[in-house]
Amino acid sequence: MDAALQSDVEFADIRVGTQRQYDISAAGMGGLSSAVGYSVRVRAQGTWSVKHGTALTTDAVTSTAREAAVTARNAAAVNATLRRTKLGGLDTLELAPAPVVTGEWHVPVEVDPFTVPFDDTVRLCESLAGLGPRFGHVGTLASVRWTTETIVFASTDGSLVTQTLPRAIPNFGAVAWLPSSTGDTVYVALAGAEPASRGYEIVLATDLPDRYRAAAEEAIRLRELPITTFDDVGRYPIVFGGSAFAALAATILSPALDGDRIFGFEADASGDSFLVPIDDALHAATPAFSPLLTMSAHRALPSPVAVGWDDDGVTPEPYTLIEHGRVVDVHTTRDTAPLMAEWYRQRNQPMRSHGCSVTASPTGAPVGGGSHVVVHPASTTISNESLWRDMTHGFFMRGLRVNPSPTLSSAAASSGYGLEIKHGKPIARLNPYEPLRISVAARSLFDKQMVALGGSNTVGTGFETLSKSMPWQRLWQPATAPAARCDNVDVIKWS
Amino acid sequence: MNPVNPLSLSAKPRDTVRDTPVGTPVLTTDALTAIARETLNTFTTDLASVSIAQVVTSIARVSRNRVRLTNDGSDFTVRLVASDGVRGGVELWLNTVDPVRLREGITYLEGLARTQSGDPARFVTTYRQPVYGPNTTWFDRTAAALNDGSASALIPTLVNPVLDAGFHAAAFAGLWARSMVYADTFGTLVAGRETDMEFTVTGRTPENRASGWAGQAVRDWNKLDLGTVAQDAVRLTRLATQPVKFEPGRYTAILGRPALAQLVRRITYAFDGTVPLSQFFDPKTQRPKLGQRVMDERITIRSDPNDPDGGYLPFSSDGRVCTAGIWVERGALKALPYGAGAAIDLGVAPPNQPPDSLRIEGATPITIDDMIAQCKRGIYVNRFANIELLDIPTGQMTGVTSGGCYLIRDGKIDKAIKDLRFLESPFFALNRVEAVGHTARAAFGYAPWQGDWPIAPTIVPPLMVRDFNFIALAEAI
Repeated sequence: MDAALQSDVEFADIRVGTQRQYDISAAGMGGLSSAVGYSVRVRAQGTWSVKHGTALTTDAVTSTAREAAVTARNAAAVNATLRRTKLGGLDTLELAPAPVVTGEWHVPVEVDPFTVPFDDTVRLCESLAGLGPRFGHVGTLASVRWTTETIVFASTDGSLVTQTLPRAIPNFGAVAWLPSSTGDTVYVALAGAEPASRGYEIVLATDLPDRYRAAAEEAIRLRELPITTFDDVGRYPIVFGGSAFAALAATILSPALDGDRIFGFEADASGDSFLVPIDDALHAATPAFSPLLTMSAHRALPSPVAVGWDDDGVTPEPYTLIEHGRVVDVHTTRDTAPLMAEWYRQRNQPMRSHGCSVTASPTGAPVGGGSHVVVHPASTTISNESLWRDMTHGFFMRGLRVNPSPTLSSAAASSGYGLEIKHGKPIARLNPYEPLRISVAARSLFDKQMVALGGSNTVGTGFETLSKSMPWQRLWQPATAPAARCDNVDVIKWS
Repeated sequence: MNPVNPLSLSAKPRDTVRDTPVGTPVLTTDALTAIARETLNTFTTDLASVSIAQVVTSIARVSRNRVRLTNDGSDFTVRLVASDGVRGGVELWLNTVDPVRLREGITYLEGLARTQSGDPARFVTTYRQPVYGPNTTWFDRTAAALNDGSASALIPTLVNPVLDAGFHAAAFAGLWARSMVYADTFGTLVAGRETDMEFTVTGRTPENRASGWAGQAVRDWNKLDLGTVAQDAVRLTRLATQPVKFEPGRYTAILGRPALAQLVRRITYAFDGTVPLSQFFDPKTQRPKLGQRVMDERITIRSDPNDPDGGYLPFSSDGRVCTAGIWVERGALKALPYGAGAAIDLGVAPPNQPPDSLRIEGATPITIDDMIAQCKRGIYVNRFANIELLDIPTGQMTGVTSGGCYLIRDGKIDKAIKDLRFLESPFFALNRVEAVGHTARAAFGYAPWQGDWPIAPTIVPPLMVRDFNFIALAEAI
């Protein structure tokens, strides 16, 4: 940072990090990796220049900082040759203010997975797998990925912070089948075995066998239902289970409120948002979405995207994006928060980043979008069953694959993991090989079609991997949501 | 060796390291080969292999009508594999060629190799020493441009015509060079280098309701033609103004090169004899339909590491041979590649890894203007986005039109239409060909569904296809 300051730049920051990872399952060891690296980011007249490398020497890094300063000035000079346009643009945006931060933040870990013998984990996975045959025609998925990152962030403002970010990504579940149809399987994931910022203790939980038993029994119950390949197109009521609705929130609602998309920073890459221009949504006389819908965001533990400081060096804060259907905020970084300044001023809120800056690796260029979104459940206990109880004919989707359009205004989605409901009762399960497919329009799905939300007893969490930027980085988008019932959803035939 | 604490490799700063500083060119094959030899010699296990790739990139991104970000740097990917000859191979990935860290990694890995059960598939069975073809994917001028800030310097050529036309501009300029080496204890040693570039620009109408996208992907700096790219974007954005909704259904579609490239790149799994899942195989016998017609008889699909429009290295990252092949000739399946292991197991010779680049050619090509003139009613699709493969055997996929979608009526482009979602299989579409255009390498732009950037050369013609299946309005621009 001293080298950058000597190069006469407005602002610079640096991320230096190590990243370690290994995969392990009942079958043995998977891949192991260890990476080191840094990226220096320098700002000149509103243009960022990022330079990255892996040589962790003072000479290499300071030389890189000086080169980044030159490149940033060159890019600013290029901007001076771009045509002025009556459309605006060519703007030099300010950075949102950020307090100088110093210190350390370490996710508390009871047992460091990088100190546990590999064989112990293999045996643990084997013991879980050994439970399956006791239930009869039940198999087991048991694998886990451990990662840990140590990241140092510093800026020319004087910030200097260090954080250690361990993450566990377990994949535990029971798979049941009927002896008469061994290829027709039902998978149920273990409750509570979700990716988290935690240590080895998550696989040492004493109730793991009990949770496996519950998953196996659920899979056995479901395998008794006949399988259906449903191809009658039409409009049907659908109850999206917590994980399925979380997938919709993660792939449509959250990116639609990503400041990078909203303000055109992703126009050459992942796209924009159907909520552009955002002022229209913020000031709309009627809410953009159903009054049932409230969605907030955070980067707090135990979410796998929890951090003490984001990749701008900002302490993340919880914030509300949608309040009873009304759009009230967007995901922001130090780059995008100033574009919301007028809105914050009107609401007497300080203009500052919510702490959403993130990179996929220590050598990456920071982008926006690192928060865990949470759709608030109904305040009363409403179960999945009560959401479909009055259905004449409809579906329950337990999981969902979503393919949105670049503006996120529409999406095709499919599920082979759910139930066909008739007269309030499950009569068949969906075919994983011939999934039920739906076509949704975002504005309609999250507004008029959304008629009820489940209670906290239906909440599920989904972890989608979303891409953005050019070249693209793959980033986690976790979401937690209750079940939701939507009526008149288009079931379409894809053959 | 206690196999307890993995990867506790030191990250202490040191006075000297071997990694190239940022801004210096990608390592020569000689330099990389020396590192690989030295690394391999460090192993004491019976079996070992080393793969090293260095990638140098220079990126400039334009958003809100100005350069917002440049991103340059050098990245190493090192894969070390070891086996004691009894257990399967264990592997470790690093991102440095610093000799101290490599030695630490090897010491650690060898401890694992002697105590842990690895994966037998990580080691290729012994095969005859491969003979590699020439490496023709390296261009000095492109590599030189990587080091002089050319990525952002090219932006005005790409963007100013779009701004002059009164549109918003977003753009991407990416330059890339890779040096790669593979060495193993069987005596295999091969190295090569390649350069590549991609430039894209999107024009957006002032009210932000429509867009036109154009791009160029090319390995050779001397073949850059950014003026034409910019003019294409301007033309397509002008045509895209005031798009109207259009009823989905099956229509004749004229697919621009970027549109067809997005479809066929997603079925590259079919060009592998060891994956009997595609339409190239009889589902009952699981044997390839060699000699049978699998596409329109005007279509030929081939791959060549020395393709002048975008070849690839004559070896894979694990040292296996890649050679030219004709897969589909005038609509009939002619051959499929079998990698080294499968070639030995199945008695197929000579081994050939599945190809990186693909070239589709058509007999009697015509221009896009001629296609439009021949079309009574149809849709011109410039590009597809958000591709998702739904079914491997049929190749059925979905996605949406993007960067320009137009209604054709009575032999002319009538108006812009709002983007549509499609459901289609390129296997089937290539059987419903009405006309084929002239072949050239297509740009991809943002395409995470296709793998890592840059996407391997995909050299395709525009294609006129009947009954293309548009299933819904996408409302995307």
